Amino acid sequence: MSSKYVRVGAIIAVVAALSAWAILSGGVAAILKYKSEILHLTQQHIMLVAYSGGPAIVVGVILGILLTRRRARRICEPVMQVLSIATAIPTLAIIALAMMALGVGRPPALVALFLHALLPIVRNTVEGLRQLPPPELECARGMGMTPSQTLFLVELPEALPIIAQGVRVALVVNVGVAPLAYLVGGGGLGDLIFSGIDLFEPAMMLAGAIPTAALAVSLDFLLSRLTRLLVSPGIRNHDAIVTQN
Amino acid sequence: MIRLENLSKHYERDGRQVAAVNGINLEVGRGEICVLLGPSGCGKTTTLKIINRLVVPTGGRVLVDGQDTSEFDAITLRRKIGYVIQQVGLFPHMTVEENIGIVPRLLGWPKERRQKRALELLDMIGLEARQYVGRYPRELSGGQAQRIGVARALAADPPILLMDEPFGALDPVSREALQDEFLAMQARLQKTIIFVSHEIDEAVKMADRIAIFRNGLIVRQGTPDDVLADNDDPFVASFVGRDRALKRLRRHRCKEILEPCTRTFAPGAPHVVPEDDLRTALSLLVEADLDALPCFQPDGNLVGMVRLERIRGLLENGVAREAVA
Repeated sequence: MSSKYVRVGAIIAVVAALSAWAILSGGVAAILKYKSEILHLTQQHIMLVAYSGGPAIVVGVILGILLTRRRARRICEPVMQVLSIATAIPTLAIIALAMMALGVGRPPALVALFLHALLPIVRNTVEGLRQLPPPELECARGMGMTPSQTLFLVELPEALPIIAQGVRVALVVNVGVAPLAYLVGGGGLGDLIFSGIDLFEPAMMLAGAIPTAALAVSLDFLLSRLTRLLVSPGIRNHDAIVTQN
Repeated sequence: MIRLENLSKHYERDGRQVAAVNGINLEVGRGEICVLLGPSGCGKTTTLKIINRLVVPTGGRVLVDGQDTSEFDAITLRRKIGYVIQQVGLFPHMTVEENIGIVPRLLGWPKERRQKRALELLDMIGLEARQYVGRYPRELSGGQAQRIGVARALAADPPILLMDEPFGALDPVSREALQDEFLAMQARLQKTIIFVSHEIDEAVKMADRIAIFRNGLIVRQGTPDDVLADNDDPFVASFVGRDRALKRLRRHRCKEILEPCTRTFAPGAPHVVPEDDLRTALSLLVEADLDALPCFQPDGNLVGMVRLERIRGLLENGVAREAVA
C-alpha cells in the first residue's frame, strides 16, 4: 500500500514542481497558447491507451486463465518466460518493428502498447489464480461446481485484487509510454513533447508533459477506486502482489 | 445405503503401480456414522474422494441405494452429497449466508429460499443467525468457521455427508464441543455419514461403525466395541492403545448398568448421575477405593447404584446389551 502512495506522491511532486516553474517563469500563458492542441492530443492519447489496453486486458486475462488450467500446467512457465523476454525488448524497438509491418500511423503504436501492457496483466492473472489454496478449489468441485462455475464463482472473484493490480500497473505505465507513438506518427501528447524538445520550446514540451503526468495520476486513482468497488470486503485487505516492470 | 465393492485406486509413480486403495469392501447403513480410521497415507481420504468421484477408481464400484454411482453425472451426484474438509474451505469473498447458500444456488433455488435456509441452519448449529449472516470467513474463529462448513454441507439437505477430518484443525476444547453438537444434530437428522479420522478417541466417540485402514486395506471393521475388544491383530491393538478398556468404558453410561440400590451410602460420599460415562464412575471407584457408587438424578433422587463388578463384567462380555435400559 505504502509503495503506491510513494509512487503517486512522486508523480504529483514532479507535476507540482513543473507547474510551479511554469507559473514562476510566466510560462502559463505560453503553455495555454497550445490549449486546443492539448485538448485534441489528450483525446488521442486516451484513445491510444484505451485501444491498446482494452484488448490487452481481454487477451491477458484469458491467457492467464488458460495457463493456469490443469492441462496447461506444464507449458505455463515456458510461456511466461517467453513473455518476459518479449517485454524486455525496448518499446521503441517494438514500435520500429511494428512500423515495418504496419506502416506509419496509429496501428504500429497500438501494437507496441498492447504488447507492453500484456505481460503485467498475464503475470498477475497467473499469480492471482495460482495462489488460491488447492483444498478450497477441491471443496468447490466436491460441492458440485462445474469447472466454469469454479472459475467464475470462486477463482476470479478471489484473484480479482491481484489481477486488478496488474491492469492498473499496465495502463498507468502505458500512459507514460504512449508519447513514443509520435515517432511513428501515432499522435497523442508525444507530438507536443517531442516537437517541444526538437524546437527547443520548453512551453510546448510542458504542454505535452504536464497533461501526460496528470493523466497517469488520475487513471491510477480511478482504477484503484474501481478495484475497491469491485473486490469483496471479505478479501479487501489482501496484500496484492505488485508487478513492476 | 452406501456399499463399496472391491474398490481400488492404483496410481502410476515412476513407472511403478502404487495402490492407494487396494480392493476394499464396506457397507454403511442409512443413518449410520462410519469412521474410516488409520494413519496418514493409508487410503482413507482417497476412499472418501472416490465416493463423490473427486477420484476415479481403477477398480470396483460404489453403490448408493443399490445404484452404481458411475452411472450418475458426477456434478449431479456431488450436489446430493455434503462435503466437509479439515481446511474448512469457506470462500473468503462470500458472506456466511452466501457460503451456506452455494449448493442451493447451484441447484437453482430462488434467493429468498436460500436466505431462509441459511438462517435456519445457523440456528441449528447454535450461532446467533442475525449476527453471523453478513460476516465474512476471516471474521470467524476456527470453531465458528467449521460449524458453518458443516452447515454449508447440510444446506441442500443431502442424505449423505462425507467428512474429511472435519474437526482435526481445532483445539481440543472446541473439538469436543463440536463433536458433541454434531452428535446431537445427527440424532435428529439421521444422515448417512462417512467420516475420516486418524484419532481413535474421536472414532470411538463418533462412530456407529469403524473401519481401520492400513496400506490401502481395511484390516478390521465393526462396532467401536468390537474393535476395542479385539486383541488379536497387533496393528489394531497398537492403534487402539493399551488403555482400550478405558476407551470402551467411555462409550457407556451409568444408566446402562444401574442396579437397584441394596445398601446405604454415607452422606457426602462420591456419586454419579445416570448420564455420566463409566470411565468417570471407574475413576471415582478407584479413587475412593469403593466397590459401588450411588447414582442420583440431577434433582437429587436416588435411582440406583453402579457396582465395580458390573463394570468388569461389561468389559469381559463385550457389549452389555442386556443391560441397556
